[in-house]
Amino acid sequence: MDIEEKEIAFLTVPFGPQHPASGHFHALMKVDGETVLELEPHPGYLHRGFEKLMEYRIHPQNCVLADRLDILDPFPCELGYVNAVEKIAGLEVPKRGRYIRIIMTELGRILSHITWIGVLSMVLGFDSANKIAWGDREKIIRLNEMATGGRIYPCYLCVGGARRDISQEFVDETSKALDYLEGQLSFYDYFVFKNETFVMRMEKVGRMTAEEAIDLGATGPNLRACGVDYDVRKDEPYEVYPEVEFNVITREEGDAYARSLCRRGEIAESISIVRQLLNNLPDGAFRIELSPVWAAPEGECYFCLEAARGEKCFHMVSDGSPFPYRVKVRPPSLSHSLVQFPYLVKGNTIADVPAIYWSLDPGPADVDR
Amino acid sequence: MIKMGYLSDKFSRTFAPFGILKNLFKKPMTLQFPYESLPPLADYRGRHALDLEKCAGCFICSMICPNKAIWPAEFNGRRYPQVDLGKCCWCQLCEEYCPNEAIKLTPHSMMVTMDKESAILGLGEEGFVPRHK
Amino acid sequence: MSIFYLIVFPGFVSLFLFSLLCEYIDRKVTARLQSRVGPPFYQPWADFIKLMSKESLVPTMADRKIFTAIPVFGVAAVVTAFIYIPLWSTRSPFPFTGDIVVVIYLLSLPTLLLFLAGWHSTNVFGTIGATRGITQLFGYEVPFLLALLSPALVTGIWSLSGILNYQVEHTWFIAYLPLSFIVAIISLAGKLERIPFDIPHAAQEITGGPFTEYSGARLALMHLMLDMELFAGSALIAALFLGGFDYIGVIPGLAGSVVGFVLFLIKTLIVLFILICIKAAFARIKIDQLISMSLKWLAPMALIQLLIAVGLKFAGVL
Repeated sequence: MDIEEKEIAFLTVPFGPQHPASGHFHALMKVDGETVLELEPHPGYLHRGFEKLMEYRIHPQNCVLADRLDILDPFPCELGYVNAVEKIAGLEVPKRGRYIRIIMTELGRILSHITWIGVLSMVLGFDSANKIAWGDREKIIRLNEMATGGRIYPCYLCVGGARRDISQEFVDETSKALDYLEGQLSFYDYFVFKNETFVMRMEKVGRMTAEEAIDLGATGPNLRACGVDYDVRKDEPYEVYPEVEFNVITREEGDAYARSLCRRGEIAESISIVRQLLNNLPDGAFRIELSPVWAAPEGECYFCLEAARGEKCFHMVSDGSPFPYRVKVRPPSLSHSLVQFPYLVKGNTIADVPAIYWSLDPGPADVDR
Repeated sequence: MIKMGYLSDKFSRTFAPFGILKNLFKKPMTLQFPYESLPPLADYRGRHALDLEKCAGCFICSMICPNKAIWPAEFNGRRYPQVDLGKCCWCQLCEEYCPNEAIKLTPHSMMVTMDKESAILGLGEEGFVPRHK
Repeated sequence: MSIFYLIVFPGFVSLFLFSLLCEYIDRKVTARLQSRVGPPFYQPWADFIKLMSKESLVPTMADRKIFTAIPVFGVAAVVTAFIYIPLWSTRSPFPFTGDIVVVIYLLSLPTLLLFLAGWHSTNVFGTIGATRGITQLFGYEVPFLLALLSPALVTGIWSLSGILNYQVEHTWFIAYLPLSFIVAIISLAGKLERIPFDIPHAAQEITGGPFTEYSGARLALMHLMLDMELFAGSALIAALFLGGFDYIGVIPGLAGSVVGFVLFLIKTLIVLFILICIKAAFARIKIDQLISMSLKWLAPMALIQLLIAVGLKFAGVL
């Protein structure tokens, strides 16, 4: 191979796994002065082998394991697993169970987006917003504790419904927390999203056109910020989404600032969804009781849902035994950090690298599973 | 006109963040941990408790545990479950599938030890007896 | 008596204590603005002792002597700058004509020393941090000099004691030169490398910058240098624009000195409070945006203020 190399002296800078900015994700940057010439991602620091582990465990145990697939947003992982099994078996979950599931999932989406505001601010050097966002998370984590018994790992859903019911106290506390969060959203508006330095760092940085976004496999707010109107909750609705009204937030520019505004809009939409669901909560059973060694019949299912980061899909193959034959998870962050991140970073400065990385909102645990 | 709009935008965006000064007059949101803490709620998944009367020795809890943290141990001539807190993932499946509601998770969550052996809950007259601090 | 001035009162020991007080106020007020509690008052002292007691490592390919000399030179430069600032009367312990220029020069030494520190670390992050530090020097040094030297340029007096005398007789310079005051505070934030200008040691992009390889006693002295620079810079702005010790004129005797010193401390803390508010409200900006902002907005603002002041003086108003 005859490659002619120009004489550019470059430094190799690690965007290392031990880093306040990258989660547990390693990338090597080739830098010339302040401009990044190339970025090579090295994922795998968080690979725990969930897909293989799930083949040796029965369904109640797998629901506990599925939590850990993406720690910042655990509810869609459980929801995806449980829905895929139910679709193979043709189970019909009682109405109250479905409502409870989506209430907790949307609260988890708000939690994930607030965590994202905190981490993005930390990475941009914006200390104050980081600390304040971490304090706002506490409201939703307390609601998690009330409903599920665990603060970060809920272990809440099971095949056939939810493991525990929600109480009237939970409904009251949730309304209070949602009022507080709406007030905080207007605070974030003038403090973070319309802060001059935040806008200077994020505007016109990491721009993607709609065709590039679709080619690179972007989903979720990254895709919607480029103008493509695609949301799994509207296009292929599941659970109770046909019965709630919400808007899909899209923007035109496709840069990091547009992605931020998309996520901020989604927090407001999720708050309204939870309010509608709490108002119409039906009574009745919330769970179908199944034996722990219940087996789904033979079959295959590919179930897609909208996690906070993007489109998460579960491909489940069952062979009639209590253990699933194959569980394959399509994580949304895989294309964010392995494909879009190196593509968007070329030609930008070192200071833009963390801004682009976190504006794409990858979850390092999600990439490696 | 566009220039004026751009300049006034920049101006408001530069001075609006100083609204954070109102936080000086509010109570802080953090608690100083060892002296004050947020108590866990009643359903919190913490350390296990065993009711020796109700336990039938069926070991469904041991079979269902995803991390194999429960196994049989001898006490008072019978076999009871013993829990290794180091392996436990606090999922509450043992409580959910126990037929006699003998093993339960209490809200107690402050468990500290420097020694792996003492993470295994011992068995005593009242059920599980912690050997850690 | 000069030994007392050099070592105890406006010299090393008292600057050490004031800088620790400054760091405590900085961290406590920042924490309250972020609705947290903040550290107790002895925290900076505890941090200093802890760092001094830890092992100090030097990278194999770096030069040991220069590595050790840099923090010591930094502390020495800032202490020397501080003794020329008049704290309790119109005169500092060692006044002379032109001492304002000497103070400003000595206060710019820490940035050059940070560059050397980053370069000698033989670490990728240190190199990037060092080059960013020098680039930042180009950005804010011009507005800083224009703003701080504007009292001297307008009145024609080039010694700090003379400027303070002028302020006692007429009004404080903040009334004549408000824009220079604003430019001076913003450029001081840039010189001290505080958010929004803490680009050289941006921890989230280049884990530490020039400080990456420092540990133990050398790091303790580096942090002490930054804290002392914070206090000395705020004190300089308080002396030049807010009238230093002055509120009710000169009172003779020891009581006058004590009252003057307390007033001076209050004014320094006001300047510090403005710096803290700027730190709490903004994110970090990029280096090219910093240079363009300072050359497009800060330097012209200082120049326009100078032209207005000189014009008013020639018109006979001042």
